[in-house]
Amino acid sequence: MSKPKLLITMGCSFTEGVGCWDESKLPTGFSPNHHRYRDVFYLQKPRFHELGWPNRLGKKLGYDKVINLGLGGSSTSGQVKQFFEKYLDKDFSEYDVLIVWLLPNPNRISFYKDGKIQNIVHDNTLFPAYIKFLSNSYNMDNDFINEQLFYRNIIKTICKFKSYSLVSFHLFNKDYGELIQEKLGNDTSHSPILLDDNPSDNIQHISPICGHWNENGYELVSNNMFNWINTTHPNLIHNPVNTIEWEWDGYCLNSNMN
Amino acid sequence: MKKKLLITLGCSHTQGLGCWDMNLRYPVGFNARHTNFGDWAHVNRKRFHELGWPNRLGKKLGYDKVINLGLGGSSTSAQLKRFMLKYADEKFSEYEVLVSWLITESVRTSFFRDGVCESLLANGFDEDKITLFDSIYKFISKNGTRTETHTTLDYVREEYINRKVVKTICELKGWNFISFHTQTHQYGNIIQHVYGDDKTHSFTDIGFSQENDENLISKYCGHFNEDGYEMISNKMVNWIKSNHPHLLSNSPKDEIEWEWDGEFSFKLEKL
Repeated sequence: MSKPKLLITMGCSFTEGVGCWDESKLPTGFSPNHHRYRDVFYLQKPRFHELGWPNRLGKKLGYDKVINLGLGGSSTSGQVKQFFEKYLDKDFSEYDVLIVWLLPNPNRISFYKDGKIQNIVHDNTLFPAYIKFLSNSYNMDNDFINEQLFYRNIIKTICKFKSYSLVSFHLFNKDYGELIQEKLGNDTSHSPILLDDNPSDNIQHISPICGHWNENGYELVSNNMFNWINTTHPNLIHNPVNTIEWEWDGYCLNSNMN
Repeated sequence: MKKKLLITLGCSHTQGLGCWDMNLRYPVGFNARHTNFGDWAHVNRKRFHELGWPNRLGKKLGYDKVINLGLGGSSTSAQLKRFMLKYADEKFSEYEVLVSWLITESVRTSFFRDGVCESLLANGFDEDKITLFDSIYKFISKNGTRTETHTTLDYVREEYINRKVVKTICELKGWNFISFHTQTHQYGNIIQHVYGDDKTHSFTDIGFSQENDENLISKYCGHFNEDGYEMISNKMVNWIKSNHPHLLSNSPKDEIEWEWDGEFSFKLEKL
């Protein structure tokens, strides 16, 4: 008898599902500058987690459970640290496990601070020093991607030894995808496709509030992911389901590691 | 019965810096700040690699081969990167493998720049590196307002994750793994707090508290000399005997096959 199927998803806000706003519950003139933005954002988080691409993909693939580790603002290295802290030692032997990783912006980095994983994005005071360090580099994007793919390789290696399946996708444009592909060579676990390549229809797929995908966008993205997996890794596909058990576990631990 | 392979990871203390050939005539006042320090270090390089703790430990354990990845000035994360890029996919199926990591100062980190893995240290000649190192310290220490202990705790957490990657991959590959730390005498309590009761790590000082003993230290660079590395390898063996006796082979050896594979700065060839 085959094992139940578990989908673990990793990524940033685009994996957390940010953008699936319930517009009927938003204050008038709501935007990121609104004084209640943070409060409303947190109130709507459960909706984001339910309606993003992870659960949609899990249903289309015919999986039994989704654990979504997506966390807004997180970096590739921060996502690996989180995985190591929380999921490396978990016993999933009752499941066939597939990890789908939507790689975040590769220029983000992370460090521990106050015992927590702190992700460094472009508005952090540390970020300019990182850019200055790379400023004489021949191709800064190349350096960002090297760093990102090093961390991807850690997860890929762990998956190989634990007999988990892994596929990854990336955000951003075709050039970026080609740079990744060039470095990965014939590694078929990464998809070169552009997930939301439908510019004429963009307005239908993007939330005007935060610029992330909306429910239509996440549906498009999950369809594109599914189609690529169906073509490239058909062994990962089962009969689609209408409902799926799921949890979001994107919180970082305040940890002593032990 | 399989042959035994020892893979060693670490910084200059693992590369063997300090084992200078005292029969050579060095410039008057020669030290690490001398203009030609790099040239003299290059002349002595093979000697460093041959006479440091890795080969001494390999012989005392009775192993057949040593691959030393130690690299002067490297950070824990750079050492992890090197291990991942070059050895994570190696099978070494004809060997029983032991990875022994002498972990370096926790504050060091690394990033890729121009395809090269660059380690960031508190000192050096590259201003952009030093600025980034200082900015990371300011970020973690909240501009120096946190205590040294709390700041160090976060650096050790970072180091612990890097160590956990190597340890996990070793476990999954069926390799043995042990580690030691150069800073146990400085902040061993913090290391123990983060590492917990991990039996694969030695929480006792393996000799670094004697860095001021002029009989054990090179006057040229402040690293251990041959006697110092002999002391370190003896302390490592004693800890292994007490805690992981199965890692010892039957009899020590006088000769050992060895190679150094640390390279000064490695270009990214594959991911």
